[in-house]
Amino acid sequence: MEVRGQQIRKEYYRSGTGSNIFTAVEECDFLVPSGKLTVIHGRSGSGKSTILNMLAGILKPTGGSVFYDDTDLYSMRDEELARFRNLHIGYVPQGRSAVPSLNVLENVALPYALYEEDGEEAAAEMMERFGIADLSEVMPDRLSGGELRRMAIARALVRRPEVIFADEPTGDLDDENTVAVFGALRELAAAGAAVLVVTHEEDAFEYADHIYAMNAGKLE
Amino acid sequence: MKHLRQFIYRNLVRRPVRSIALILLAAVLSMSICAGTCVVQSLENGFAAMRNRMGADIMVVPYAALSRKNFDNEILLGNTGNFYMPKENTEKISGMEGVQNLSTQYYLTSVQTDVCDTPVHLIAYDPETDFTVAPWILQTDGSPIDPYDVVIGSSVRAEVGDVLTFFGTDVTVAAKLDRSDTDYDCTVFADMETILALADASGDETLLSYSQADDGGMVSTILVDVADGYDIESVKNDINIHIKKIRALQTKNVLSGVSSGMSGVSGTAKILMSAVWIIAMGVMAAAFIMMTGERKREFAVLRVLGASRKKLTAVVLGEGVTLSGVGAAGGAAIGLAVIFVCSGWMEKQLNLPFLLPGAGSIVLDVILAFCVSTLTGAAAASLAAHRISRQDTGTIIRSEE
Repeated sequence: MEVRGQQIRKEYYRSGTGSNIFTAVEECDFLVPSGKLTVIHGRSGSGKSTILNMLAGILKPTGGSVFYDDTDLYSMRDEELARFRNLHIGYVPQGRSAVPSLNVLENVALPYALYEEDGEEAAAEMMERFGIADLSEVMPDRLSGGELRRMAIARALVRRPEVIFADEPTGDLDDENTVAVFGALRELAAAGAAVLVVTHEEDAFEYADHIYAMNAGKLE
Repeated sequence: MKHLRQFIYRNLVRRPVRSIALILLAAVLSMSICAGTCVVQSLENGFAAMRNRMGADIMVVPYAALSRKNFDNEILLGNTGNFYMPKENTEKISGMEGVQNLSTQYYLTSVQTDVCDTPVHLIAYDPETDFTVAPWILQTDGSPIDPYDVVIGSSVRAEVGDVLTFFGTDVTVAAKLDRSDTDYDCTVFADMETILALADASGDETLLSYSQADDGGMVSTILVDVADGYDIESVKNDINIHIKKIRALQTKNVLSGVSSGMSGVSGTAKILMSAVWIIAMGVMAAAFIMMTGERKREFAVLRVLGASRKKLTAVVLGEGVTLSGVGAAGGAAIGLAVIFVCSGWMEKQLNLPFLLPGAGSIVLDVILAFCVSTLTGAAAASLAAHRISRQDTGTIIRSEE
């Protein structure tokens, strides 16, 4: 499944400024092909997370459309779009994203639990893959930054989605874990997934098939 | 974890302080509604029972009786007193225009016995003319009330056919009255002959002096039933004008004093319940909004993982309903216990008739308290749910914690 952003742009209304309109992402076309790892890099505030969120279906563009193959993402009703995200999109958010009242296993299995499905076996398998199998019963507040990140990645991949978005996935990881995470994303792309990574780390480039740069809302 | 409800359960159990605080809030609301409604109903029941118990349109008492503190309440609640007037007043009143029925009562004394928790009031009445005691007989063997037969209040520990002993004199229980939750529940009614015999047997000079005065020709109260078509106020005024050293009271007016007292207490209870409800609603809404505000990143993560707005609403509402439901059930139970344990104390403090409603009404009060508290929690949670379901997931998910 490939993801296409057509003439997408994002503007915010901001009071107290001259024009009252702040353009986070200028109009652009964007393609995340299946089987490839695509990287967007840029400075903080350049709009790279905004473009990722628009493509992931959690931030409606001010203009333009996002297609997953032939499916127009934002033409779906909220429940359809939510289910679509649940089944087809894996998303690794920036920063800490654990649900604090659930242990690691429950966090990883959460995408299944949201739809009353048993995902513990798949979660255990994914935890094994990311080296956190022995942390099943541990609560998130007991985890290190690296373990939390691996948990978030395991959760994003637990449903084996066709499209994967990762926002600064190695932001708080050491070199060893960074290599492991990019290696895993590379493997997923090689297995046919469309992978888009937003990062400001140039280490990611060696794993990328396509590299885009964002600068002040402009895609270069 | 396979179900959303398990997710809700874990959220509640693993945040115990927050959960307990909200449960307590719902419990306070539920308790106040349950207890408050029961108090208001008990007062209304007590007042209705008292009004029915009065039976008479006019009550005539010696003028001296009016000097007693809280006379209205005391006389209505069945408290006796040693005030007497000549029985000849009865004949004078019975001949007045508009008087249809008339009966007398004579308060002898109150004695501490083991058949009742409070002193038993011994009152003489006239079974031939009585129209205020007989309507409240609950159990009887059907035979007329003869000398040395007694009619007992509901709290007297005896049944029809039992023999009670006062001052060494045996009397037989011929009938038992319905419960009133007033001092009438610890009263023994008998005819004048029996009461005078008890006075004699007591050996108490004071009682003897009362009973021997005019050979029992004294009464404490004359109860008057006014004939249809006559103005009760006019008949009362006639009695006051023509008979000295007495005061005729229209029972409606006597009741109005109690009624206004009861209205005051009921009104206060209703205002308090409303205030607690408004405060609880506000605090719950604020608590849920703060709670969801603190957890907005968590909810954004749920959205990213595929939760629809409807599911987020279900989570917040589920938590709200669960917490307020648990609190409501506990609060209603505590409210009920408070009412049962403290009803006697409340009656004394309020000095108003207090008759607990029946089991059916109490069950309805509990259901009402449970539903109002639970729905209040649900309404408060729905405000938070509405806010959280409208939040911009993309903006929250990329913001720093």
